[in-house]
Amino acid sequence: MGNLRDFFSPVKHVMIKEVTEMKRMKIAAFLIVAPILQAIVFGFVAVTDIKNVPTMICDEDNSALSRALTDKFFNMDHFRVVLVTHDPQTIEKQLGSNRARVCLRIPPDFGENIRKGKRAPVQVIGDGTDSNSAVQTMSRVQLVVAAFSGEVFEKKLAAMKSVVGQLPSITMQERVWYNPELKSANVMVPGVIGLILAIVTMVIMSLSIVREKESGNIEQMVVTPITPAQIIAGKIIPYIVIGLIDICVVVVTCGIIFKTPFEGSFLLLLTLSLFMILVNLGIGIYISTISATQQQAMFSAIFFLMPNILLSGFLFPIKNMPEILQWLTYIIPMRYYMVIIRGIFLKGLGFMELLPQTFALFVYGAVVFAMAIKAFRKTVS
Amino acid sequence: MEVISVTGLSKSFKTVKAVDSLDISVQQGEIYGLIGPDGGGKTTTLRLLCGLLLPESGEITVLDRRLPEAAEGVKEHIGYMCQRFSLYTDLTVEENITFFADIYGIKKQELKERLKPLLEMTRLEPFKDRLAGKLSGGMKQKLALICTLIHRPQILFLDEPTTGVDPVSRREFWEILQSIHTEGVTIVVTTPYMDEAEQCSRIGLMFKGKIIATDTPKNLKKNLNGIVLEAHPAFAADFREMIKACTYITDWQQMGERFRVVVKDEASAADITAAAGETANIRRIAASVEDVFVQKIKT
Repeated sequence: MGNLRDFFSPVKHVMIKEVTEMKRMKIAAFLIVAPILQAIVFGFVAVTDIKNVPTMICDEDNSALSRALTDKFFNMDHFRVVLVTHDPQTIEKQLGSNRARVCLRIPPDFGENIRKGKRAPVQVIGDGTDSNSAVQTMSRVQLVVAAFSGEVFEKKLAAMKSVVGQLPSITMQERVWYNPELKSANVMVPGVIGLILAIVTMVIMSLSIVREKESGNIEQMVVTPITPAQIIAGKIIPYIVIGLIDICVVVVTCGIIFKTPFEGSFLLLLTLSLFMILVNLGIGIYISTISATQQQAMFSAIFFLMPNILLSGFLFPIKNMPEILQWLTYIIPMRYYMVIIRGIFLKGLGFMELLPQTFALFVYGAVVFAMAIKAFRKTVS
Repeated sequence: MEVISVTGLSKSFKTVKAVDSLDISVQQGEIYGLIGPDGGGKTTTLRLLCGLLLPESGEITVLDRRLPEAAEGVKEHIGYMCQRFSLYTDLTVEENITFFADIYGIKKQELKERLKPLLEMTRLEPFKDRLAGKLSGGMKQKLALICTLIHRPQILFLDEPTTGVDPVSRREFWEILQSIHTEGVTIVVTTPYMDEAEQCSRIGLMFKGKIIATDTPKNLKKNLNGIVLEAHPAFAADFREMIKACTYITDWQQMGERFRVVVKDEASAADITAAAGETANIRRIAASVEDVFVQKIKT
């Protein structure tokens, strides 16, 4: 016990100094407030579900049936009908000026064809400048048209019921688990935790070490009896604590503002986050050993941070990436953490289900951290 | 008693030989000054003596312990103040001192007792609660000095403590060093200022990684090979042309209206006095460490 106390006494003083500095630099408040803002911004901005798409309908037929189809597009969440016209010349103008993003065009013989029992095509024109939402919107239009087609078909069948009798039909009942409303905020906002942990325990932590290196403080400490391990411990513990506080802050923010479900164990989230923090600290300390100035550290940190954002599945689904990039994601630590966060938030997964990801982070962290400490010892002596 | 002993010490950075087979011996209670121009290897030598750098070859013994092997054991008995101000600018004067006292494991009560005389000596008492970053250059150096003195080291290493400090603060700083010195602390100090050499008990003149002379300032000046004269001629331009032509003048320097001339011997001194005439107002003056240094690097 005596040895442990001997080790931790200087560590405690480095921590006190670190926290005092944070307070003076007004960075402490920033480290708590910034995550809240980030969670809110991501929750609102990074919304991939498409609503209220400005829609125009060009009804060249103007029959009872074409009007019935047109009516289907009113009072829907997804579409906001801005214009109903009979003149196909206006389509170009409306789409080109962004007044409408999608157009349903009903040809002149639409009602006639249906009555005659012929094929009755309709046209959907989407604005491809935003390809992602165009694809989604057009498939939504398709759903509406298909439903209308089903209704028409059923009416015809009902008329013939007495002749052909009961007909079998197969219907599909859709269920989405874990995020039934497919709210992208539910997926995005928990992911923000990963980003914030990386910023606090990797970027800001490494900057604080480099700041001391730059100003010669580390050198001054090396001539005292304090050991490199004690310096490191004292420097990182405050950032670990802030990282954990930030997780709590984001979870509460998500719950209050976005009503994000939290199915799993909060304690498990904090515990498994420690493994991600270990990786971040390792990379952060390593960055601080290769950087002589804070600018260099900042650039190196961005270099490490970018792939963690782009290739972790935080913003873009890994399954949609080219195969080579998919393989590459296995060396991105944040990839495993994203599975952990979303698993705990949305699926309520337990430790056993998340064991592979945890193990991957543990191995990653142990290796990077050991290398970083070795490099740090070398630079200070 | 010898507290620092260095033999054949060398250290290179890439292709530059920063320190070249150095021999230094420092006795207890001395102020040993490493004097020389920038880039001469002073800082590297000091960092080697503190165990901050690993030597390439040669032996270092500090307080009877071999470096770098026993560096940890030496650390609590030495204090090191590096060239740039390296304390925490976002902490107050008192917080900085307390931090260093804490990592040396000094008890609160003891710190209080030690701090009082140190603050009095450096006159930093009224600035206790000021942020270190808001201190003047001289005060910063004094604060750094307190932080390196708080654990009562036996040897104090100071790397250019007065560089960039105003003349009044510089003088004050040396007064503090002298009073620490009288308490029996051995001080090793580097400086590019030749006038500060006079304050040391012994100096080593360092040039291009080597110590080219080492002795007390008095002996060094006594052994200067030549005589220093000062002239205040009526016609500076003429005098200047004259001394430029003289072969027996080893060194000369114009300082405004005056000239400082070093000649080889008495005969040359008499010659130049006669040649320049009454109007040159030539008189003998005491040699300075700078004269010695210039002579040493020229030969």
